[in-house]
Amino acid sequence: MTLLNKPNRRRFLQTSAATLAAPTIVPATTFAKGRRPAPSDRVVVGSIGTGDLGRRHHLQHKLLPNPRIEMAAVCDVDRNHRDMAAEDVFKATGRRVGVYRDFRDLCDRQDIDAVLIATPDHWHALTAIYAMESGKDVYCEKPLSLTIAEGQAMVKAARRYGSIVQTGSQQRSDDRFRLACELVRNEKIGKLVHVDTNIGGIDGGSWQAPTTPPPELDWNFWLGPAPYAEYAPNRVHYQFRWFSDYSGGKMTDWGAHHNDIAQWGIGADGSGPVKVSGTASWHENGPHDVPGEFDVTYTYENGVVLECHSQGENGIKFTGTDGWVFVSRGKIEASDPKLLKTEFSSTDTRLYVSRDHHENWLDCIQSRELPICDVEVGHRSVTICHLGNIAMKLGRELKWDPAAEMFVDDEQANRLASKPMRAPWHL
Amino acid sequence: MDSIQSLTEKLGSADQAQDYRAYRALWQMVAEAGTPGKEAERSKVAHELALELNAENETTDGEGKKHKSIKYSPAVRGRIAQLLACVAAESEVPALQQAMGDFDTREMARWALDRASCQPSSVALATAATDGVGPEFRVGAINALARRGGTEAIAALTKAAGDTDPEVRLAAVEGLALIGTAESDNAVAAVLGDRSTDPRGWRRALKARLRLAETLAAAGDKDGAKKVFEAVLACNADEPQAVAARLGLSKLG
Repeated sequence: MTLLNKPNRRRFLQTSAATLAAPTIVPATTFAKGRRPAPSDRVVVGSIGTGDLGRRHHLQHKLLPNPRIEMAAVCDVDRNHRDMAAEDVFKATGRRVGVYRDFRDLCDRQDIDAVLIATPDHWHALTAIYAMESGKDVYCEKPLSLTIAEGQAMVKAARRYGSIVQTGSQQRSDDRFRLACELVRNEKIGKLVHVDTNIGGIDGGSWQAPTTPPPELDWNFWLGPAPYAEYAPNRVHYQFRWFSDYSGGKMTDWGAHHNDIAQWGIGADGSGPVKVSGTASWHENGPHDVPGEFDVTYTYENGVVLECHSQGENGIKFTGTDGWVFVSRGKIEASDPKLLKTEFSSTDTRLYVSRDHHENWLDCIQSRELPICDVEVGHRSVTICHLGNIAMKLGRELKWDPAAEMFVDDEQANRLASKPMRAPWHL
Repeated sequence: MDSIQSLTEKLGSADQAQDYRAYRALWQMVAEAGTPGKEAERSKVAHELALELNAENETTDGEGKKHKSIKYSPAVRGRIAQLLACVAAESEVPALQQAMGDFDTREMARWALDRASCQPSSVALATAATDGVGPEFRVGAINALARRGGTEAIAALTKAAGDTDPEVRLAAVEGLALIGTAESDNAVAAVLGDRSTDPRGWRRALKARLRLAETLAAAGDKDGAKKVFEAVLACNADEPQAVAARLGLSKLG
């Protein structure tokens, strides 16, 4: 059995029915360790957004070292970023790859199978949707979207095109986080009552005078769908996170990680809370216009309460009637240390096992099974964050209908579930 | 508490922190006014913001002639429009429509109309979509209408599908795909240009057809959806669109 040759290898399974036929592909696990797959077996990837995270974390540490990946193109609206990324590929492989300013040119290439998106948040949806419409599978960094409406559109596009979309919430591919959630889901700490996620806050930043954008940066394209603003260095390249036109602050930056694990432990993937309220301290003098310090409370239909805080040790704490478990990167603790050695039975609920987030994505590209952080999972998890931000912005308790994905009896809140876009961009 | 007028006068200040504080204070008023059950307060805040949006200064020249000029800069007016986006209703549409007549403020005024879902704003957007100056502006109005739906929107987008500008035509059919009826496919199909000279535009029109089929299916018109999916397959679509059409057909059952 062999993988089919490009370009049809991934799509033949979808020619007749939504249910997949038995795949005539070789599972990735059959590759001998260290053996480089044949060119026809590799996933050809384009990297969109090659700033710090896209280049340092993904390209240098995840994509280039992976023998299952063939890098074919890089794209960034900052010429220096894309040129440096191309140079990374050349140094690692000896090959010159396509270098693009416009993600659409990259996605229009028929030889590219998949894209990894690490742009600022306000570009995630448009880039991912275009990629899916171009037949690409997608790895999209968290937070999946800037607004609830964007996430909905991304889910629709994925289902319309049968795309494999992995959200970059890599904590689900960490054994500790899975263990914590399995302990919770199997009531090893009793009935779940309360979840705390501590994600950190952000200071107010410093004002910088608007100035001419540097020549390597296509500022208008960087803004894309966001409202026009004059360029200042503190708006771009990591700092975008603290401006609500481009991101949701710490709530989406870290909330997309820890609230995702909370959803997993609560068993709310595909759903969400029914009530949200929050208090925030807003920076008195700016420029950051996202919450500085905050506490947000979510109530689920089953009575579980999730509290998301900017203070406290970074991590997630699940509290049940009979104990608790705390988990963060590199650490897991429980009220009873013996819980951490739990041997689950065959009747226990076992959660999706993924040992490496990128490998899981590649496995699913080949198997066409949903990845561990499928687009719907990522969308629902970041929706938690958007709900929190909207509640804090409006300063009142909001009721949410997770089935209809709308606020109940609050027209103003529903206006904030989406944002208009600068022409010509639209969902 | 500062009045809306006094706070607005601080927007655009050279002191960025003062500008920021003024905007935050205005936002808090808007948020409070939008609380369910506070219609009177919402109406008051929206009305005052609308007045500021197009406020004028009156000056007298050396010959004693009076002149009027718009009080606030385009940037400030744009931010007023952003605030109005969260409280504006039918009463504010005339002010937003007036702002949409100014080149410097029409984009943000369009954003505010996008958010204020009511029949008069649909009419204003429809006029902008078909008669607005500049294709990019018409595209923005079209995109706003597409999210709105309704008979005005469908009529305007169907007309815009015959626009002289190819980007406007494509935006119009993409909009019809979201809100259209089975008849809309005629307009969409007509925009399918020459694949060899404009492959990206051709694909966009095809993608619009797929979305239209989905819209029809969601509305219960399975026959209409089936026809559109089959039409996509019949035109030798690129693989991604062909896959999507087949997936769509399979979901119809």
